[in-house]
Amino acid sequence: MRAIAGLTLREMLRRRATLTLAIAVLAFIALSGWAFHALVHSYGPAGEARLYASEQLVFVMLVFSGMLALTASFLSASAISPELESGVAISLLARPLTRSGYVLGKWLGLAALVACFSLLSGALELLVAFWSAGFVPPDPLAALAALGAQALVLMTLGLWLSTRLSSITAAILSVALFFLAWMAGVGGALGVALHNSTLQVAGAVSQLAVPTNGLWQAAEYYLEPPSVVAILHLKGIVGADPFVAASPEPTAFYIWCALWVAGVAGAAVWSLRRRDF
Amino acid sequence: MPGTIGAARRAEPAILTEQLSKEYGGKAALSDLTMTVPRGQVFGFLGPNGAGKTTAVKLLLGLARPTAGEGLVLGEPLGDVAVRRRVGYLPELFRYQDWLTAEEVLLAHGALAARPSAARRGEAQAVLEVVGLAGRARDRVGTFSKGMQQRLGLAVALLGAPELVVLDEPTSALDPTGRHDVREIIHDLKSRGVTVFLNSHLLGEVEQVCDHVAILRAGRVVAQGSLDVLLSSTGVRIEADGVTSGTLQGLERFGEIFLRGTELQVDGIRRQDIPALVAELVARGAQVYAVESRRPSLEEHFLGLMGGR
Ligand SMILES: Nc1ncnc2c1ncn2[C@@H]1O[C@H](COP(=O)(O)OP(=O)(O)O)[C@@H](O)[C@H]1O
Ligand SMILES: [Mg+2]
Repeated sequence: MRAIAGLTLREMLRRRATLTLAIAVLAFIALSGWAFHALVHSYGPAGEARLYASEQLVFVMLVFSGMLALTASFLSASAISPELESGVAISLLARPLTRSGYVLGKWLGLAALVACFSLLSGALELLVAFWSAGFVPPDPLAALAALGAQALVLMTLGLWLSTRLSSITAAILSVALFFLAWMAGVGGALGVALHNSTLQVAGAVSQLAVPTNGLWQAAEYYLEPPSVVAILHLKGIVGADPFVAASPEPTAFYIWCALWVAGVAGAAVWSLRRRDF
Repeated sequence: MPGTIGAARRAEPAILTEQLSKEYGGKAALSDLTMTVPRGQVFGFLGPNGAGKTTAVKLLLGLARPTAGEGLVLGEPLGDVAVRRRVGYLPELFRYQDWLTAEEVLLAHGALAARPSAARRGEAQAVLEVVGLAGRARDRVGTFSKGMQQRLGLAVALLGAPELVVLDEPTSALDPTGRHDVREIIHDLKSRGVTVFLNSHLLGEVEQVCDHVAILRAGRVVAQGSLDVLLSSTGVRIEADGVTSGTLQGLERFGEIFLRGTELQVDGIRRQDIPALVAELVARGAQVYAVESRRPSLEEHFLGLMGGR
């Protein structure tokens, strides 16, 4: 399993796709730094600019989390099926390596990469926001952890899909599910605003089916200044605005996320176990 | 008493299968394969393309699950993971990560096979030497020709002192030198007591290296046994005067008889029955000038078996 994790990590690091995605993320960070800088200079008093910057930061981080999710999906979606097709897997699995060892080795290698990449680039983005606009989110570490967890969730989904589908199909499907989950989150918030219970239930169910948006909401909560959250509570519009998180996610949600990752990784193992070569 | 267990291990067959069958989508790829491969034997598994050879090997290695039947490999049930430490395998269709060097492929396989880490580099070098790739150890697999990849596959199969080596069409991409090398390698394995299971549709190759063969046709074994016994059904050509159809009365029990002038041909006669046939002919008044027995090649035998297709 360790050998597979090592091989996976090495392979991912030398892929052109990894490099491209990393460059894209870095370019995005640089661009956002420039935007923050421009923002601070066009607004007068420092306090006002900072509040505005915090809202902009949430939006920037939303796009940023989307890029991380895309990266995680693309990397993991091509982790298994190409090896099944090319015949790399057949020679590995003829060794004293169980199918679960193979899948979990892949998962570990990818998880190491995705977690490091999310945390490092996320930290860089927050630093850029600090340098250019002087904004410090209330809990940057928790926000980074939530972003990393979101990437891990998507990575696990992509890995499962790649046991059955070609790289392209698996990547498109997991990115599509990511966007659907996000839209379901928006739909659920609309449901709250419009007092439409069907929309609320649909939103809540799809939030659990693919918990990426819930993790984004968690990250959002830790990025917003407490004043924004306080205003929401004062107005009594908790949960009605998809672009503001009024409360932290309950612990049960994080437990669900862990179970979800374990379950989907288990599904990947099961899918490969059933396969004949 | 490890000594006793070791002896018992050596005594049990390397491969044992019992009515092993595999269907793919309701279509039989292998039916009722029952065979025993003793330790130390070079076993040839023959058959035309699509006969089910590769399927059988994948079942043995746990890469596919049988639809019915069971088997033991080195004493462990099919699908056992730990036993694969003692098995080397060259798949028919395979690739290695083309961004790794030949040596790195072998190091990765050494790690997967749980070889002691201090020994891995030396073992990798040794098997590269055996397959003639020692000079290319540091080259990327992606730069290798198909034949070189097959040599590397052979090196992977030989890695870690396996007790059983399974080779699926090992020479399909090799030039004549390569084929010769493979024969040498198999002879060497045999001299070290390693069991070799050789899948092939190349009869000449099998005839040169194998002790036992099983011949597969459309998923079923149609002949099985030691090469000597399998090919012991021979033909004999006898030149004799004074042979009439009367003389031949009752001699059909020896085989199928053809008489053309002074030339008598008996097909399918067992080698050991030839003297008795000649004695009988002489007793019946024939004058025998020449007796020429001929052993058919494996190819003729094979074509005979496939003939009724
Ligand atoms: N994975 C598979 N899916 C469906 N059919 C298969 C598969 N593998 C083999 N077959 C079928 O099983 C039969 C035997 O194939 P195979 O074992 O590869 O033959 P051989 O190795 O003797 O050439 C063929 O008819 C082949 O089409
Ligand atoms: Mg084959």
